[in-house]
Formats: sequence, structure tokens, C-alpha cells
Amino acid sequence: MRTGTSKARWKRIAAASLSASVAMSTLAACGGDDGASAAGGGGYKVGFVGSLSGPLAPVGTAMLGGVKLAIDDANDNGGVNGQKIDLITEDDEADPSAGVTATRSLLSQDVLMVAGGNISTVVEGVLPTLEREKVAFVAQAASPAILDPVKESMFQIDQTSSSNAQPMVEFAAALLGTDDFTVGIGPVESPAGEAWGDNVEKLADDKGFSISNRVTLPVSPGDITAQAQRLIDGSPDMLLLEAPDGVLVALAQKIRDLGFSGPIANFSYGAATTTLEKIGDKDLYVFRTAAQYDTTSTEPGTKKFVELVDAAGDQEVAKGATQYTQGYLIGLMVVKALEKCGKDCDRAGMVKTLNDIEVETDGFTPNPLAFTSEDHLATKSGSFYSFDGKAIVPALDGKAFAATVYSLDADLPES
Amino acid sequence: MSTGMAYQTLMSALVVGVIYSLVALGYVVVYRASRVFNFLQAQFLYFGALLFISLWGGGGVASFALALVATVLIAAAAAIVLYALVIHRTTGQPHWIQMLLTMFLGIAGLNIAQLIWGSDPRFLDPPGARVNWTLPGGAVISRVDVAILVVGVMLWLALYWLITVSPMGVRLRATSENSTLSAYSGMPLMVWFGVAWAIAAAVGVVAGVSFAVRLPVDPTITEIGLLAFPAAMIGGMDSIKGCLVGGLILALVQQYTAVIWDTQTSIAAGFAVVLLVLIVRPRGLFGSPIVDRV
Repeated sequence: MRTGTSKARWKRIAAASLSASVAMSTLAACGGDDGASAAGGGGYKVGFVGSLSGPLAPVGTAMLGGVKLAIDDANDNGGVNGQKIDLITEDDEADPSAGVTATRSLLSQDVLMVAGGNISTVVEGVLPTLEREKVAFVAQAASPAILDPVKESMFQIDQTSSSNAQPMVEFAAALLGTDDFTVGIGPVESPAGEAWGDNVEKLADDKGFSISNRVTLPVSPGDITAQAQRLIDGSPDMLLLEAPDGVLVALAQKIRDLGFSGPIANFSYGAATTTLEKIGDKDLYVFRTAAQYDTTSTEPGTKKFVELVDAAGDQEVAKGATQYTQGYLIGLMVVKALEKCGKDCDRAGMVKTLNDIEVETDGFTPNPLAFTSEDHLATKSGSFYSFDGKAIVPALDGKAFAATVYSLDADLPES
Repeated sequence: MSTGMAYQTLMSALVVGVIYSLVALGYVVVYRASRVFNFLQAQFLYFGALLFISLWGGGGVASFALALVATVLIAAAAAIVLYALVIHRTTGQPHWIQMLLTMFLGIAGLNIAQLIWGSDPRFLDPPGARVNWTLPGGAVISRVDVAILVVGVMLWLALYWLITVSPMGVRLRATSENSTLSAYSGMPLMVWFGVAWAIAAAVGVVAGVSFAVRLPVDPTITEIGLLAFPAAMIGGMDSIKGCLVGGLILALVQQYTAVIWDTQTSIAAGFAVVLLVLIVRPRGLFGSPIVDRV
């Protein structure tokens, strides 16, 4: 009898605890649904969600470093509208479900907006949560499937990888001095890579150049001799690749070992300065939508970036990961958006602000970063760079190549 | 596929096959001694490559060789300690427990390595990396690949003698055939099992460095280590001779499939060969008739 009473009491306690937990979780998830604002006087709360642990930690950590660089600069100069920016970070562990948990945690802390998102699958995973709460999300790695059609609160700082088919093809024509050329193409093994490869093929149909071979490249480096052989089979004039950094190092060396001496152009979210220095190939060009840590640049925006990086002691990561630069662009966008949104900015105000904004980067990007209600891709063009044996230098005098064709209407993978 | 491409693919497959055979040797040596599938072997590659990069600060062939020997010795000693402190505790338990233990240790090891060295790709620039030779017939082979072939085959020959012919090899075999009888006859099982783990770690280091001179070192190198596991199964889980044959068969199938089709198909083709071998000859091409299943 006594045991039964005790059991019943424990059951009640457990039920009460569970109810309280559920209620608290619900309240936490709904926290700030009236629109968190900066009016409380505690400054602007900005959330960051990215891969801060696990195999992709270097990517997420580098991006966070870049975001902090811009935000710390604003805070060091008196803040925005007289208020400091409080960056609250959460780790998505490169996993969509962990990303949702991290995002809910940020929402419960009344953030005005969320930045980050270095993996498309995580961006896709957390987006419904942020859309429900009508919280702006400025990400780096959203896929075309997420961005098309335009969603009111989803913004992408960099252009989609599939849209970079256009500038790479036009760069090939400019570099080779003819529209009648043959290229071997190497899309990376991913839906975005497939879309990029399909877009190059569409452009070949439209513009009349030839593709000698299309070879899918692995995401991680393995033995890539077979891929290198197939890429140069058919004697192409140039190679257009979408190889991640690790693969690019091995692939470029193997391609040269096998005797191909033509130019190679590559795009990936990697292709950092240290990678180019390691490869040391003057005829290897990488497409970048923003300048990097370039101490020789005379562009005011790039000079300021270099000064900030030097002051922060982040030279190694700034040279080693392009995600650091992308993070910096996100940070610039966040600062400008807060400034424009005003002192009493709330979540709705932030979404409205981001739907009509332009950020002048003073030459750090070929064009100003801009969002409109019809276009949520901030960058529209980029330039090609190569390593001349001493430094990373822009190709073709830094000519910018637009990436507007197929920016959002790329062939999408079946969902 | 042109003749020239087929010839070039053959040369690449030989190099990759020798590296696969070194990885497979690690699996086989531990299996021969203790009947345990050692899934830590992939981590030996990763740790070995990272440790080597840390120890070798650049320089010529002599300093490279010195750093390699030092890495092999450190890894072998660490493997003995790991065996004595952790794996040995499960001696007498069903083999699947030890297998799971190696898997979990592998996951932990991957994260520990990342804590120590980070996840960024690390590059190795060995002496003579950019020197290539054109063979009669037109295939190109780098000096590094030639070194991998020579060292790999020499190491395989040395281990073949050590494990199948030498008195130590006989003792190792005795421990696996009947550990109880071996113990009663006065053989220190812990020592012999420890030696097997040390050899596995040593060949893992050589395989890891062989990969590292051709590819950036990052956590994905452990995937390559696991991709080499089928080489051991094709050749026979307890056959030293089978390691070399299995490694070459696996590499030839993968390389030619990758040239004709693509990477994904090549990986699938490698495992298809394993399936075929398991169906037709479950003990592998050179394996002993008695094989424990897990």
C-alpha cells in the first residue's frame, strides 16, 4: 500500500515535471513572437548559427570569425545607432536537426535576426523554424531550391554555385580570346555541382563552344588520377572545375603531371589563398565573389579588411578559408541592416529593411551587396585570381564577370 | 578508352594497389593473431600521417626517412600501449565485442586527432614531388609514386617473411589457432597480440604517409582506410599474400571503372568484387579454410 502511494506520488511529480518542461519549451520556442526588438536598451541581439564542431568546424568557425570582424569593428566605433551589437552563437554541428535546436535556442534569446548557415542542408532544415517566427536569415550556403521562389525572410550573401557557370564560361572566352573553344568540365559530386555542370552544358548549346568531357569530381580527395585522365582526354583548350580545396590540390598537380598545360579555372567556396600558394600554378584561376586578404590591394574596402584582420590577428584564417570573407560580408550586411532598421528595430522591421538594402563595400566586392524584394542574392559578380609566384593577383586586370544567368532558375534536384 | 589511357590507368592502379595492400596488411596481421577485425586501422593512417607531418619539418630525403622511422616507432609503441590498456581487457570476450570496441575507439580517435591537429587539410611536399618520369609507351609516373611502389613491395616482402616464415610468425599463428593451448605452453599472449597491433600501426603509418604525399591529409583519409578493407577480404582475412593480390585487384577494378564511368561507380564496383569473392570463395582468394564470421 505504501509502495503504491509512493509510486503514485512519483508519477504525479514526473507528470508535473514533464508538463512544466513542455510548457517552458513551448514558451521558449515562442519567445519573442511579438517581435524581439532593441528597444529594451540591451543592444541589438543577433544570432549566429553555423558548424562550430565536427568535421566542418573549420568552415563554420572561419565564417564566425568573419562575422565577428565586421561586428566588432562596428562596436569598437560606438556601435550602431548608439547601441552595441550582441552576437549570440549556436552550433549546428553540421547537422540539420541540431541546427533546428540551435535556432530555437537563438529565438528563445530574442534575437532580431539570424546569420550564418554554412551548409545548405542545415539552412534548409532551420528555415521553416525561422519563417514561422518571421525572423530574417542571412545565410551563405542556401541552395537554389531554397531561394527560388524568393522567400520574404531568407537571404543569401553569396551567389549560388550553379550560377557561376556563366562567369566561368565568359572568363574562358576572354582568356582564350575566342568563343570557339573546347573545355573539359568537372562538377563536384553534389546537387549544386550537377546544376553547375548542367548550366555549363546549356551555355555550350547557346554560345557554341564544345565540351570534350564532363567528369564528376569527388567531394573529398581520394585517388583522382582517373578523373584527371578523363578531364584532359580529347585535348581541351581549358578546364572548368568546381573542385573543393583538398581535391583541387591533388587534381591540379595530377593534371599537370599528365601533361596538360592549358589554363584551369575553378570555383568552389574554398580555393583559399593558402591553397593557391600550395598549388603554385600560374595558369590556375579561381573565381571569387569578394577580394581576400590582399595586402597589396589599393581598394579602400580591401585595405580596411586587411587592417581589421591584422588587428584581430586573423591572418592565417583569412588566408586559409574563404568562408572568413563570406562571414565578413554577412557581418557588413548585418551592421548596415541594423543601422537602416533604426534604434527600435524589431524582427518585422528587420525583414522589411533587408528587402530593400544596398551595402557599399568600397571595392571589396565588384558590386555593392544588395537585396530587393525580388532578389535575395547579395552578390552578382566576381573576378578571377591566380598565384603569380609571389601573391594572389586578379586576372584580366580584375575584370568582373556577372553571374546573373541561371542564378535562380538552375535545374533543381528532385525533392 | 585509348591504349595510352589504359596504360596510364594501369600504372596508377599499381601504386594505389600497393597502398591498399599496406592498409590491408594491418587488418590481416591483427586478424591472424587475435581473430579481431581491427577497425582502428583507418585511424592509424590518419594519426600516422598527421604525426609524420608534425615531426617532419621539411628537408631532404634523409630527414624524411628519419621522420618516417620515428613516426613508425611512436605509432607502434602507442599501439602496444593501447592494446595493453584497452583491447587486452576484452580478451576472452566474443570477437564482436572487440570489433565494436575498435570501431568506437576509431570514432573517438578521429575526434581526438581533430582536437590535436584540427580538421583543416594538411599538405605534404615531399622531396622530388614534382619530378615525373615518362615510361616506355608514354605513361607518366612520379618519383614519389615509384618510391611508394618500392617501399610498399619491400615492406610487404619483409612482413611476409616475418609473419609466415620466421619463428615469430609461427608463434603469432599459434596464438590465433588456439590461444588457450598457446597460453598453457608458456607463450605470453599479451606480448604477441601487442606485437601484432604494433605491426598493424607501423604499416598503417607507412600507408598513411603514402597517401599524404599524394593527397591532402584530412579526416576523409579514414574513409580511404576503410575503402581498403575489401582488399583484405578479397585476398583472405588471414593471408599476407592475399593482401597484395587483393589490393591490386581492388585498385585495378576501381581505377578502370573510374576511368570508364565515374567515382561512385568505381567504389560500388570494388564492393561488387568483394561480394563476388564472398559468394564464390567466402574465405577469400588465399584465406585459410576456417574463417570466423561476425
